[in-house]
Amino acid sequence: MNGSETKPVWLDTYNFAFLDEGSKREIRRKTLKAVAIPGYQVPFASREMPIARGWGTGGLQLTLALIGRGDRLKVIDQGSDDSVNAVSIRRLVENTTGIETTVDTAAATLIQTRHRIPEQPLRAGQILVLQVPLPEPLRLIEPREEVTRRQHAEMDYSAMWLALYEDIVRWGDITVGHSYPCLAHGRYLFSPSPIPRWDIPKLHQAACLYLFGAGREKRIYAIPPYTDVQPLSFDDYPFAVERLAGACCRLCGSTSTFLYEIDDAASGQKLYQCSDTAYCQQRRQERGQA
Amino acid sequence: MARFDMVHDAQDVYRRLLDAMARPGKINDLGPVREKIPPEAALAPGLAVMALTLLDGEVSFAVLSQAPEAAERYLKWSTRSRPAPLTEADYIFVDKHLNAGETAALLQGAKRGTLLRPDQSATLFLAVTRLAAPGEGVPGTIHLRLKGPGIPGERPGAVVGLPRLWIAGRCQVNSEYPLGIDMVLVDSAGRIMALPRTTTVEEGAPVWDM
Repeated sequence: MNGSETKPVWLDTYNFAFLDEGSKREIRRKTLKAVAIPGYQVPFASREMPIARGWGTGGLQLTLALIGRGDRLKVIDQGSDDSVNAVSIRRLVENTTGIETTVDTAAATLIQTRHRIPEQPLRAGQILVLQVPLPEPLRLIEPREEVTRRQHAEMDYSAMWLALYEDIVRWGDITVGHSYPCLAHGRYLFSPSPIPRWDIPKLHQAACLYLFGAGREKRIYAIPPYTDVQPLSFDDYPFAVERLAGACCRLCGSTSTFLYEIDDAASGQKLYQCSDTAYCQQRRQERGQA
Repeated sequence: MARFDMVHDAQDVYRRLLDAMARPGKINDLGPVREKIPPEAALAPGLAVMALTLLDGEVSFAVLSQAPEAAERYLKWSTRSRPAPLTEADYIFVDKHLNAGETAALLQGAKRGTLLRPDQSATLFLAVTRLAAPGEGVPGTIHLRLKGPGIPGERPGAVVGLPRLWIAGRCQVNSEYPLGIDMVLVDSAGRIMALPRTTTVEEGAPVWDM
C-alpha cells in the first residue's frame, strides 16, 4: 500500500507536520495538563485544517503535534485502514513529514483512530489518538456549556444518572450503544468518543496513553496509562459489552472480536465481519488463508 | 555549537516529557540536546530545554535562581515568553536551593487553577542533583513511593537533592484535587521525572523483592 505509488512530498512547502510551531506548542502544553487531570476537557485553540471540522481535525492536530521522525503512524477509521478518511489523513501526514506509515498495529508508535480501539492490546510506548465529535458527555442532557462546566466542577452528575435510569424505566435496559459515559480516576465524567461498548474495558488500567481530540468543539482530554475508567452502571443493571450469540467473522472465523453486521443481498442472510481489518488480515495470514 | 532545533528537538523533548507525565516516577533521559544550551542561558541546561520546548508569547514564566535576571533575559529573547510574578506564572523554573520560607511561599503562591478551570495551574520545573535508581545507596537520597494514575500499583523513586519540605508541601497543595500544581524534577545529568497532581508521594525505604 505504501511506497508503490508516487506521492508528492511537501516538506519544502509546509512546516514539518503541517502545523506551525506555535500551534503545536499550544497543543503540547494542553496535552500535558490533560494527562495531569484525567478525563478533564482542556480547551484549546483548534486551527483550521485542510479537512472539514467534524472529520477528525481534533485527532489530526494531536497527531501532528505529537509526531516526530522516529514515529510510525497508523490511521484507522471504524477499524479500517482503507476507508477514505483514514487514507486522506495518512497521506497528509506522510506528505508533510516524510515518515513511514503502517497498517500493523504492533509496529505503530502512534495510532490515530475514529471510533474504535484496535483488538490487539496496545503496549507502553504506544499512543492512541481518538477523534471526538462530541467531547461533552452531558451535552445531550444539558445544552449550556456554562452549566456543564459547573456540573463538572461540582462533580454533579445526577442528570446523567437520571438519564440512564429513565432509559431503564422506558426500555428495560441502558440503551447507550456508543460514547458510553465513564468516570476517569473516580472524578471526571468523560465521553470515550463513539467507540462501541466493546472497547470500553480497554481504557481501564491500560498500558498505553489515550489522547482525545475534538477539533470542532476545541477540547483535548486524556486517559493516562494505569488509570481507573469506570463505565456508569447500576448494581442491578451492570455494564455489559455487545454480544452477538453464535456470530463469527465470515473471513477469519473470529468470535472474540467486535463484528459488523452485513446484509447479503443475494441470499438475504446476515453475515458478520471483523471491524478491525488489520487484526482480521493478520489472523487469516496466520491460518494460511490469505 | 549546534542550536536547539525548535522543530525536531522540541518535538523529541516534548514526547519524553509527555511520557514522563503519563508515567509518574519513570525516569526519562533528555539525551544530548541539553549540550545545545549556551552558557548565557544562566539556567540548568535541563530546565532551559524544558523552557524552549513549552514557552512562547501565549504563556508566562518565573525563574528562581542565582541569576534570575540573566535567565529571564535569555528566555524572553529566545521564546518571546514574558516573566511574571510567582503567583501568576504558568511555568516556574527553580534552579537554586530554597529555604523553608521560600519553599512555602512558592508552593502556597503558585497557581492551582480553579474548579471551573483546573488546567490554569502552574507547572513547576525543579532542578535536583540526581534522579537515582532505588537502592543505589547514594548519600542524601530520599526514597519515595508513588501511587496514582500512570502507575501500575506502586512505583519506587529515589531523588538526591530534593529537600524534604517539598514532599509535605506538595501533598498539602494538591490535597484538593482537581486543583493543584504539576511538578517535573530535572537532574544535572539531564534526566526528568514528573509528579503530576494526581500522584500521591510517600517517603519510605524501598521495598525489596526477595
